[in-house]
Amino acid sequence: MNLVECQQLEQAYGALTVLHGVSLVVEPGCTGLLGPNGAGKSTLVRSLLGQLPLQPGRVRVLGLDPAREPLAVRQRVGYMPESDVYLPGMSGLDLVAYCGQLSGLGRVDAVGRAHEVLHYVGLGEARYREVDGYSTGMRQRAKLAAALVHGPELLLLDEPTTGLDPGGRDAMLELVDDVSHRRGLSALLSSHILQDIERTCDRVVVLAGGRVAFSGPRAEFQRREARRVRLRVKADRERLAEVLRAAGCQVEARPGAADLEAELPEGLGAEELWRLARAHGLQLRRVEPASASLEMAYQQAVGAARGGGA
Amino acid sequence: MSQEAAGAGEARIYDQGYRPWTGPRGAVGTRFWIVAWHELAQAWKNKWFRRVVWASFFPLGVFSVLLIVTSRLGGVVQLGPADTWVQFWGVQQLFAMLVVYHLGRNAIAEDLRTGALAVYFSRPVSFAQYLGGKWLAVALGVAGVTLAPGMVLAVFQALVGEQTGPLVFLRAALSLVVLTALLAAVEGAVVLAISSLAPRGRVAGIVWVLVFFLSAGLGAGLAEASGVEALGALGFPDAHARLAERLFGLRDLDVAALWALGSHGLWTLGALGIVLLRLRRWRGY
Amino acid sequence: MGSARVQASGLCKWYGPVVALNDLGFAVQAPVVGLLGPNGAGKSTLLKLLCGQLRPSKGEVRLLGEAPWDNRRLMARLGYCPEHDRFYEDMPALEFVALLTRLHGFDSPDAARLARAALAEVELEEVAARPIRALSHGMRQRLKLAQALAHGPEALVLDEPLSGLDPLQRARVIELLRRLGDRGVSVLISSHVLHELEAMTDHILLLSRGRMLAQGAVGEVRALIDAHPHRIALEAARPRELGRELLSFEDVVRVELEGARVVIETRSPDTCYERIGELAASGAFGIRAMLSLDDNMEAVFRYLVQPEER
Repeated sequence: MNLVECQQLEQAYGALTVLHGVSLVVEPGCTGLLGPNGAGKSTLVRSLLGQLPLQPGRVRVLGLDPAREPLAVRQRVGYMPESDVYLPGMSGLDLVAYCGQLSGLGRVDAVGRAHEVLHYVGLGEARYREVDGYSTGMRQRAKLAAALVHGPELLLLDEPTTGLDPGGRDAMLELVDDVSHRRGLSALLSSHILQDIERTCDRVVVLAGGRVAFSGPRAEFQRREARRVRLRVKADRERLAEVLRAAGCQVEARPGAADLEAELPEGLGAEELWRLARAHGLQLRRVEPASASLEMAYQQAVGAARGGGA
Repeated sequence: MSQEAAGAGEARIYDQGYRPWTGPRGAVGTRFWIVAWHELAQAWKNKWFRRVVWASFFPLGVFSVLLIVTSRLGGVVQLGPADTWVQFWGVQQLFAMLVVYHLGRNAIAEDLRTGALAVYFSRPVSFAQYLGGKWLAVALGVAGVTLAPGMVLAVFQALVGEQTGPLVFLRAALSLVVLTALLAAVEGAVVLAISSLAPRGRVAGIVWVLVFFLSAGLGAGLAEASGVEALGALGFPDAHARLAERLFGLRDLDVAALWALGSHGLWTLGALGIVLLRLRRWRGY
Repeated sequence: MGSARVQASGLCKWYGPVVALNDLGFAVQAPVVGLLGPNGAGKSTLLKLLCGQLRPSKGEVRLLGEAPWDNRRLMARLGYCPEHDRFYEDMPALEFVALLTRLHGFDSPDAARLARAALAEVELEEVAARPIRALSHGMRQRLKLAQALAHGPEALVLDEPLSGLDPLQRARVIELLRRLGDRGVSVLISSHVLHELEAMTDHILLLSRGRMLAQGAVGEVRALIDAHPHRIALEAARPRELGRELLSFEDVVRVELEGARVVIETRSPDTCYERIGELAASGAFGIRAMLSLDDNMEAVFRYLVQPEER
């Protein structure tokens, strides 16, 4: 069953239309939500939570209509906001338990559940300390725990790795990946960091200018181009470029980057490439089919939709 | 576990990861109790709040004695039980003001400061439940230090006062309930309005105390200066005191009571308006 | 230590008993340098020392050959883009940048001209007249960059310059910073998002718990880490046979098979790459692709930084 279905969703703030007839579907698994600033991502998320006035029948979340039953929707959805929000004067445990209660769990159930999810996100002894004193990484984990405590079926994540150092980012993405693929939940991940999306999402929705520019599997979004390879050589990159050009390849060597990309002509396969390199005494260190990077695909999609820059 | 069971192929490693929640969930629409309880629990952590609450029961002893004295020796002392009630209520007012300080100052100010509203409204809590819960917390606090000791005093009076019996009790109880409700409504609304405008809880607390005393002084000052008695009801503490006088039978119900009631209404609605205006962004949630 | 653009020697900074930086010594020649480290490592302290906002407790630090503390002439040659954002909210963007430029000693008409040019560089010309409160987060971020660039500094110090920008904006800023590096400006960037840093530079300064862990080109630093053998991933038509063959190399310490992928660990990458080149050219195993898994910033970070206790 689809977790979210939008049919011609429109949203406006006064005279300014932010979403122009957005139609999309969120399937089970992890879906990435991409788009330039101002494209309407947060408006979309708010609409799904029933926080904005909505025309009935346009949106279905987990089979419910947020226009009619926003509270019921929020009971089954977990939201991890981007901004640094918390409740003052409480420990991590209190906060997560309170959030559980606000979502309908009884007091005892909520505390037990809070311990469980705090253990899952990796907040050990820190859960007994006040949230005011947490580091960024800890706050993000606490936010994730608060979003999971009531056992939602859909998790909405807004820039979950903001402010995290590389170790923290790794850990957070690991959690998101685990929870959305192996624990019976699904997630909608809104992020600017394409690497995050690449790491965790199977499907991608691109919003630009208040419209859907692309919606489908990530692999489709990032098509692999068979004859294009990315190469790195131990030394003497220019020489490799020359050799390849002489062999009939189109070579793209950006100054300042260590790699170069080459479009292989028909008849020049991987084996020939290696032989060529060896024959000229060049030690290849990387040979990788170049998929259109997520970044390029994104640029194309957004450009095509004439996405409004922020 | 018997020894024979060991080695019977029953080994397990338990999953440490996340498990979905299959337990019961409360019905949507009951969250304001939880919000209220949370505010009360937070305030209870503060030792001064606890002390105020305990201290609010001390006057009970004094007033119990006074009640007997005035009801038995009324003629001699030229005071009746009604006087005692009014004075008692006046004293409890101060405790109420302190309780409202503790329960109300952080209620909205700190939430706004830390962005907690985003946390509340991404959960099945509506705006009405949020505001209602905060208000309820203040109301319960106020009731705890006014209605509760008052009821004890009423029972006491019904048992050992000059006139005994359930009717006496009921009359006192009714006045108490009405007064408490009005007090909770007004002071709850005003403190929440202040809290919604203040940058942090501490500021809201100070402003609340100032507003309390200044409005009392304002009313009295204006009444004296202009000679118009009704203006005395401008400050809500004074207005409340006047209503108390009438409801406890010290004075008869007259026009002044209406003014006092009107004052309560205006303060409540005005404060409520301020809160709704300040939080208009979240009203639809 | 002659021509190094940024250098330090025995640099210490403490706040009372708390040590923020302990005996830092480094010398950076590269035009664009990334400053990495987990949260709490002392990066902000180092940046503030470089910008003359703090004075070293011990030791010295030099930017463009001079000590930054109380050095107004040097400050005029430096542009700083801080992490937090605090502006005069009601001031129009252009006026704000012009004001800050004037503070560097330019007179009004020059300042206005430079401000306009800076706004054009970061693509904010259209909103030049708008008050800052009306700008989106991405625009504010670019405004910070504009004010750092306007007075034509010789050195730029940037703290998380890409946060809040969507992928298209990021790509443009990365391009801008690379251009500046080519033009001879010394750029020091502190960031958590490592793959973006990699798009801008190869040189890093790695900090952790107030100590310098490593400096230099990522590839070279990686080569120095003995404790962790190099991981190379290969894709081949006959992975099992390839794996068997690779095991016969002395330098290979581990071979993992994952479907068509063979991942090996080797203690001497150079010999290994050479041998792989031979095998690939022979076509015996149908080697299609090869990739080093940890010759990048992320791996260097992971290997050198010990995880924090929680």
